[in-house]
Amino acid sequence: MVLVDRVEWLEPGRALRATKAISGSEPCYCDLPTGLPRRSYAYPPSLILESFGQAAAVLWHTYDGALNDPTKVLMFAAARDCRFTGRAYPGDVLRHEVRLENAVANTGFASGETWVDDRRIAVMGSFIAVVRPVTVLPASDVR
Amino acid sequence: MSLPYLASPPYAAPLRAVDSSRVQAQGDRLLITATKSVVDTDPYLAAHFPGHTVYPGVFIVEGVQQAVVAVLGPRDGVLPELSAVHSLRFLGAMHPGECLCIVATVEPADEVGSRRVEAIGRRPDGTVVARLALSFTYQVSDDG
Repeated sequence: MVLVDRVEWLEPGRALRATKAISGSEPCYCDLPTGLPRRSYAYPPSLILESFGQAAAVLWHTYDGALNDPTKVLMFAAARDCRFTGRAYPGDVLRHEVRLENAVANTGFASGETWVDDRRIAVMGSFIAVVRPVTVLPASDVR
Repeated sequence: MSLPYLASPPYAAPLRAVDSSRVQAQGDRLLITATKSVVDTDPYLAAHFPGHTVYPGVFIVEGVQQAVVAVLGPRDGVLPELSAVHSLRFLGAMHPGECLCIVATVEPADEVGSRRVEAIGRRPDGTVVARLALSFTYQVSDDG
């Protein structure tokens, strides 16, 4: 589930701008009939959170190579004070403006905003991710 | 009261994040209990993580949303939407074959019509895997 398309601007370890284009062919739209009210096609907030979190993970990686070690995994651990103030639709491009607030030991803290053109659709107060040994995850079939 | 669930919600959703749910009134609050069996063929699970399939934490947020929206239902033809994540903590991972149980308490609407929801996600053995505090409203300010 990769929900970041590209990094448009980067100040390593400090800030990043990343984008994600919303396509009507994504799985979240597959079972949705046509003819519903417009807001029924709003991109799910849960996926906006995931997309922002992935952008924050990329930023953390530029700080200390958090994603380099194959024996470790980076996991979304917590969030605080996130508000959704608008919607995004197929054809829109999410633009995440992410700041790395702090990184201590195996824990990283990020904040930021998500925009569509000149509309701010979400404010992310605090995202917290942790690095854990891959052994915390049981193996499953590789697909 | 048990709630019927459609094959998929009538709005964009990454997956059907609730298999069944029940709701009961507790004074002026609503208590929702919802379940979701994690299946490795669920959308978006491929490569999350490579070789170690984990139910994405944001799908627990999605499950709470789908359960709450189904209970609150439309008002003037409009469904409530997730407007805020006050806090969320993921305390354990869910894997294919496991069943997630969500218990959510929906507070009465505040002065601006927002409903605060406190939710806990557990494995069948009672292990807490997530704690969430969210808000839902019937209209987000910017229609986009």
